[in-house]
Amino acid sequence: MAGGEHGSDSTPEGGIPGAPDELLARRVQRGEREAFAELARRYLRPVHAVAASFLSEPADVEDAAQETFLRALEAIASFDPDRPFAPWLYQIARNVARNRLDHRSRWRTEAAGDDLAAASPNPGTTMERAEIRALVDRVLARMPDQRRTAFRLFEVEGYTSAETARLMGVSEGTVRSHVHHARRTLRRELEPLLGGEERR
Amino acid sequence: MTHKTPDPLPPEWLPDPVGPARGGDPEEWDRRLRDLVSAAEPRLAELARGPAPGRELRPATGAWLLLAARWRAAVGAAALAAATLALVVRVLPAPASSPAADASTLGLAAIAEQGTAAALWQGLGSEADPALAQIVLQEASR
Repeated sequence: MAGGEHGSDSTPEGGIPGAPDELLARRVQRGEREAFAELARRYLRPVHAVAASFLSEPADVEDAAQETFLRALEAIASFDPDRPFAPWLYQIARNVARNRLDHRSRWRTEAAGDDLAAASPNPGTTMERAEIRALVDRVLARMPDQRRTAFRLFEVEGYTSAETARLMGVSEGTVRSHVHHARRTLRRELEPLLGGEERR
Repeated sequence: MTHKTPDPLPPEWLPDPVGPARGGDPEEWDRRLRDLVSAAEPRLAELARGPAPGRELRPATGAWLLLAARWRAAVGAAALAAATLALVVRVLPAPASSPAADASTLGLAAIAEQGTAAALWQGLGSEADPALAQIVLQEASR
C-alpha cells in the first residue's frame, strides 16, 4: 500500500516511487498528473477492497472505486498534507460505498432477512460453496462497518494488520480485535448450520 | 487480549478477493489505473491552472478547525466579559445626581482643605458624609 508495494509494478503514468503519500497529495493539489497516478496506483486495490466490504455487485465495486478517487480529487484542496493521506481516502471510500447501497446491491440482509437456518436450502446436508458464502455474507452484513472492512482487508484480501491499520487510521490492535470478533461470530453462527463441514 | 484469537476461517467460506494486496492480473489493474487517470484529467487540468479569479482555494480542513476553535474562544471570552459587566452594573448602586451624593464622596483631603471637620460639617450640614458627622461628634465630645 504505502510506497506502492501493492500496486502493479508497471506505472503507465511514470510513477514517483518512494515519495510519501502526503507529498504526492500536495503535488496533486497543484494538478500534477504523475503524482495522482502514483497515489491511484498505491490505493486502487485497497479502495476496491473497501468498496467490496459494502457492495456485493462487482460493477458497483468498480464504479465506487473510481468515484472515490474522483471525489478525492475534487476535494483535494481541502486535504491537509500534515495529516495522513490513507485514512482520508478511506473515509471517502466508505462514504461513496455507503451512498451506493441500494436494494439491488445492498449487502443481503434486507431481502433475505436474518434467519440463517431458513436461508439454508438443505439444512443438515452438505452445502454448496456458493451457499456457504451466501451465509457468510449475511453474517458479515450484520457486523459494524469498521469490523466488516477490517475483516475484508485482512482475511479476504490479504493485507497485513499494519497495512489495514494504516489505511483505516486505527491501531493494529484494533484491527486484530475486529478480526478476532468477526471470526468468532462467523464460527458461532455458521458451524451449527454447516455441521460436519466445520473446520478448526 | 488474553483469550486466543480464533483460527482463520476456511478459505471456502470466504468471498473472492476483489482488491488483493498481492497478486491478481497486472494488466487488468493497469487498465483500471489508465481509465482512472483519464477520467481525472479535466480536474487535474483545472488544478494545474490554479483557482479561478475570485475563487480562492478552499483552506485546508485544519485551518478551518483552527479558525473555528479561535472563534469559539473569542465568543466565550466576550460572553464572559458581558456577563461580568452586567453583574457589576446590577450590584453597584446607581450614581446619585444630588449635591448630597457629592458631599458623600468627600474624604480627608477635603476636610484638610476646609480646616476642621467641624467647619466642614457646618458648611455642608446634614447632607454631609455620615463618617464626617461621626468625626464631628467625636471632636465635640472631647
